[in-house]
Amino acid sequence: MNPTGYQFAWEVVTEYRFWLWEGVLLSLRVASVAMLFAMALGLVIALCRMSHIWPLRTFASLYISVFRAIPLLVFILWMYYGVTLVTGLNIDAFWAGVLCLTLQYGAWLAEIYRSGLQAIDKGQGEAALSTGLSRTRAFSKVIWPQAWRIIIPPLANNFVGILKDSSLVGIIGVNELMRQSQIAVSLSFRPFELYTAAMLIYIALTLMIARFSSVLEQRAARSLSVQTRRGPRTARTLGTAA
Amino acid sequence: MTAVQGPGSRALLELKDVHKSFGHLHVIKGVTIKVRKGEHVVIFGPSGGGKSTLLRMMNLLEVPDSGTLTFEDKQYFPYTDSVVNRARRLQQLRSQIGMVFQRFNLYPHLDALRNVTLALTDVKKMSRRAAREKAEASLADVGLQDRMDHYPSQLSGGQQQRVAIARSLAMDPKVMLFDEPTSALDPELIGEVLGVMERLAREGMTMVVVTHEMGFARHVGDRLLFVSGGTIVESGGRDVLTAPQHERTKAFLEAVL
Repeated sequence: MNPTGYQFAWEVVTEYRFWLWEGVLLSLRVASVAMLFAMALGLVIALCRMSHIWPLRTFASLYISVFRAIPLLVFILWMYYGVTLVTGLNIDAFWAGVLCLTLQYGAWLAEIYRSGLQAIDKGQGEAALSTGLSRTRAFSKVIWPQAWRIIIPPLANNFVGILKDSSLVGIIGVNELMRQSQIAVSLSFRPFELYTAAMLIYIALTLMIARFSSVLEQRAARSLSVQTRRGPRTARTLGTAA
Repeated sequence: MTAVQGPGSRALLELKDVHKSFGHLHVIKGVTIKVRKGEHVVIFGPSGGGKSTLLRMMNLLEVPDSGTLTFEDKQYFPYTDSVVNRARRLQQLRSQIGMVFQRFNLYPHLDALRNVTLALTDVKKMSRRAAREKAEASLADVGLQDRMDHYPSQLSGGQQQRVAIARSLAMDPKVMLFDEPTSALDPELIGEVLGVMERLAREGMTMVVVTHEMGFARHVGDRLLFVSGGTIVESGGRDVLTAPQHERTKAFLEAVL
């Protein structure tokens, strides 16, 4: 187990706890802000992708194939060091990181929205339109509430992804959890203990997101079908109808 | 088609020389249908013959490639307005035309009552309370007063289709379109839906029905259209069923009866 006779010093974790805690907060901020923007962007891209106006469709497919294909680390370095140099814009490291995460995750989320929206029967929209609803209202009142339930789990997966990928923005000097651990290691020379702590924190955060997602999912499921809540009544209803 | 003079002969809804292709497939080849007020038009014929497409053109869920659609003497197709006004005009047309689908298309995330109230509050801008009362009356009308808080998944197929009918009726449509309303139902549930439709017909509702129920067609249809290969092969009164003139109509009727 311990062939080198390494002496553990777990107390460094408590020693640096405030340091790590600041990292956690910043990681969550980067991930949440990027997720919110990516959710909005992804929906727009998905709607373009499904539009009947072909230039929008082409733009959306192009966007998705390009941004999915760029390694995030390269993208972040390119944006923060490259783009700022060429444009002369002085982008804050935090926002540069958020921008890269947003642009890339927007592409992933667009595909999730699309699969969710396409899973809804075409007849749903047609029924709404046939009663005189506008396309926008048919979407927001009939299609979206049904699609939302389907896409909650994959959205949560991507939030986990964004949280883990937020560790990459440490490279441009955003003091998120990864970078904070790195600095702590360079001060204490305790990589095993501190990186273990960082990993455990990422795991804990991921579990929390999963929990949050399943609560959301249950709530959406309840509003979609109340079969579980009214089980016996359902049976009776079907029984008398047959 | 020759124009018949006199009262009651004016068309409520008219498709004139409509064509439609899906890719290379020419599915509707120049069809003209006039639906007069109070009339019950039954469209029957083989699958893939264009029946549903024709019906769906009547509220422009399917947009013709050419031809015209007139409703109450107003032309809705070809479009003449700007894109923004077009959307509003389409809504206006559709809010006056009820449609019942083969697979019900009830909203699974809303209970029966809210399935009906959605368009009342959203399109007719009724207050929640007025919409609720209207929807309750409409559901009671199809015999579902005790199923209003049920979700579609808790209802039988026949009940679901009756909710769908109530959803359309609550809008006080001037014409009801039925797209094979009983084809997705178990045989023992067909009767309750046909019963509601027959009563609607007796009450004078203008109806266009695509159906394979020849008994219903004979009972209720004032005018029967045999549609096959994208054209109206034969049309007329009930004698289309008893004494068909065209070979294709004869063959079809022999196969289904």
